[in-house]
Amino acid sequence: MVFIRNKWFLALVCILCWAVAASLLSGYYYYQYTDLVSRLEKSKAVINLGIDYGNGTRVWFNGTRGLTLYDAMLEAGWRVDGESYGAMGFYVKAINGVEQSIEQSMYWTWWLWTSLGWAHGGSACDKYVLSNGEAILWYYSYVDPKTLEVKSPP
Amino acid sequence: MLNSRKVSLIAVIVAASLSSNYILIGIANFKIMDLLVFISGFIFGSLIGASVGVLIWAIYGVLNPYGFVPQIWIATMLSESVYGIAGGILSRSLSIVSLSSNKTLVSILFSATGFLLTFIYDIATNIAFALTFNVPLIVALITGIPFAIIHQASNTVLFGICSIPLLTVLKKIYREWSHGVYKE
Repeated sequence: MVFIRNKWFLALVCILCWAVAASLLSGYYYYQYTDLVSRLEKSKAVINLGIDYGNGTRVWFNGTRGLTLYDAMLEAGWRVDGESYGAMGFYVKAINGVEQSIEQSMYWTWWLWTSLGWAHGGSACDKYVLSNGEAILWYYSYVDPKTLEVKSPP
Repeated sequence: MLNSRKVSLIAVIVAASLSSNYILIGIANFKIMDLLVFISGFIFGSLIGASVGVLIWAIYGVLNPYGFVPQIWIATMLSESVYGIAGGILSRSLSIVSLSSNKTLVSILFSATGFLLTFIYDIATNIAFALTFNVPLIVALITGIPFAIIHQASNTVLFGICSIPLLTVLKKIYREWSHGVYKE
């Protein structure tokens, strides 16, 4: 009877309940988060990722893992600069310090190796979901400003 | 010493708990049983309250559509008795007068009690589950959280809203039996 009149006691009990409930919820969401991350980690694809600077230097990063091409680029340790266009995706302007040049019409494009040769990547790199065993090359090359035609990598 | 009317009231509480358990079998972890065990402990004392909890699970645990596992059965019987014991302990501090005169505060207290008791119950039964099925304890505790949240939330609401009306009615009946014309 005494403690029911003591509002501090009731407040303490309520805070204890809140602490327990908050701990349970945070524990549950932490578990869900780590579970999701581990599942995503397992579902990452392993690809061969290459970069061609257009000056005869081509470097391959075989066995790179990622969910999207953008993930794989970061996983490979590349410095990627660009701009996000929302739903359209991330537009790459520079890789490893090599920036696009509007004056010289030099741009970065990515290419997927197929049985017919190199095929131009059809989407933004962060929108492209990788599949195991793919070979993808980033190519710094001249793009015709009138026709937007770009030559495939050699 | 238990008189026949007291025994019949306990039997009614046990029957009500069992029937509500079977009715609510489709709703995971929502049970009126915990409240009724707590109430029986509050009215008749910790020993009878604990016995009611054990008795309900002795029947419900065996005739359970989810199956029968002896270790879990024992764990739930013992854990359920916590509600009755707590009801008995709490009744020593709260009188029938204070129930009616401090409804809001008592409701908050009952809500918090329901929540904390359910927390203890869930922890105990999850530990029993982990030990029985050789599941890592932390996994058993974490995967049990969604069910625990439903259980604790429902009991918090039930204890807060239903305890005072139930106690008022049952204590009145019990008091009349003990002191009035019904006394044997």
